[in-house]
Amino acid sequence: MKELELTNEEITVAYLLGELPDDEAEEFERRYLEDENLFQRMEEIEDELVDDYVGGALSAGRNAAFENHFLRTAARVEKVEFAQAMSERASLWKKTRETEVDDSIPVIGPHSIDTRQSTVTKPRWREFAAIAAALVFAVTSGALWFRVSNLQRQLEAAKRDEAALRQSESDTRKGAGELQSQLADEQKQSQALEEKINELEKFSTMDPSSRVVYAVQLGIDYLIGDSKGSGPSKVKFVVIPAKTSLIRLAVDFPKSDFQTFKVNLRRDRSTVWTRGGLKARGGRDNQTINLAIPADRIANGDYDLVVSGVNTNGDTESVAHYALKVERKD
Amino acid sequence: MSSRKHVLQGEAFERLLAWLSSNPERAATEYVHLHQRLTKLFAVRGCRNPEDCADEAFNRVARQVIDGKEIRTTNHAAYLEGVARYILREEWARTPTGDVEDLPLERLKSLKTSQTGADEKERQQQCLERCLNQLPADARLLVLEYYSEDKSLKRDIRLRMSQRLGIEQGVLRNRIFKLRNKLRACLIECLGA
Repeated sequence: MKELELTNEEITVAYLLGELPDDEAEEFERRYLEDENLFQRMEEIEDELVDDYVGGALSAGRNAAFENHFLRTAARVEKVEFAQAMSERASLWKKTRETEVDDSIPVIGPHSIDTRQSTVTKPRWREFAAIAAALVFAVTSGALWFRVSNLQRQLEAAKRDEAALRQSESDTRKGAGELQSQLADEQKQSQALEEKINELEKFSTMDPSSRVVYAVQLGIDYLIGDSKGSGPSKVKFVVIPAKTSLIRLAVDFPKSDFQTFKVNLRRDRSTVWTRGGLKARGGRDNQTINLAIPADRIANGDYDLVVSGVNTNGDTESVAHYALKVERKD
Repeated sequence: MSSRKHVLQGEAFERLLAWLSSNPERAATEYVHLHQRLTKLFAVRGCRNPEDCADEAFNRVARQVIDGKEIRTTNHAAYLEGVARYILREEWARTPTGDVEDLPLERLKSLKTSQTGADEKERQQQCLERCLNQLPADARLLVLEYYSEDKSLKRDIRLRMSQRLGIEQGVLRNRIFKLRNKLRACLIECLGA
């Protein structure tokens, strides 16, 4: 069974990297178009592939296939950017942890100086030498203490996390010995429960009572403050039917030279939904962007929708602004 | 692709949903799932705008339904797959071989040469920190540990972690997948704010 899983995983990776022969790729596509579980697993494997690329774990051949075949859409580049940011953050966390392990050097502070009086008679020069040595030791210790305490402050956050993990592991170990078999059973039950929850989540997304798509067109007439200086702008009234789960919004705006766009949907000056790396399609005068917005992000109220053009340096410039009034029929 | 009407509205959309299922809500679910999968298919097969290509596949079926064509199959996925293959062939004919979308490669180059602005990067790190802190401590540690090893396939890391934590690999992979999606969505929202 494990071999089969591995084979499936390898097939999926080969497919994503364009390495499968055409007939095999078509067969694989037929399977995942009809099989929700296979599609879900492919999504997971795709994310791992991105992580492997960022972590430098791919072979040279696969690295090239990743860059030349896989990395074609803005959405996938966004995944790479995310994995890169996570990887950097995690390696910082790892370094901090390793430093903590090296923390076996005792923390030296002023309190560690031994001030007990010796009862053995010693020559006076020895006493002076001992005092001098103690002073040097105290000064050095003080400096060390400050350095170590500084380091300790940096480690505090990691220690808190570590403590949480230890607590978690400690909780898991509870019930060892006599209760070990009972714990194993509970663990199995917990895993089964988790798998069941995953399944339920899948089914809940498929629950017909929670899935409706609603399409809205946001035409050029609704543009606020367009360059032609036309009359007062209109507010687009959007009435969302009950049980809507996805709003497909087509936004029209005047043609511009930008290659990609970013959209911000704001309410009370706070962003409630945003999407970048969007491509617009267009005719001679206007362009259109298609958005798919989860309906649960939209409540009753007034919204601003801002479309910004993004240049190759990543700078943005607003190209369109719309006002929406939303009413939900839930 | 630019001259096509991409978003189905009104009657066309209703008729498409009716073709998918007599139950409108079930039909909407089916539409969302099939759209996601077709988008994936088009992305892998080199369609420049995978979502648009998926829209186009649905548009063509809707047009056939409106024109009164009787589509006998009950396997909607298979039928749409057939339509998708036509669209792909048109795409390939339109796009010279090897001509991939310029933008992602540009962005990839900028990633590799670290041309991303320092301010933008700092903001991204701040947002990521904020998003990580919103996770429970054990989830945060799990995801940090998973991402902390370079030069090893994540499959191997996952195997080691699952053995140590005493959970199935599949469960761990699914947990990481969800955490990753949660963080990604949080990061996008934070950066957009």
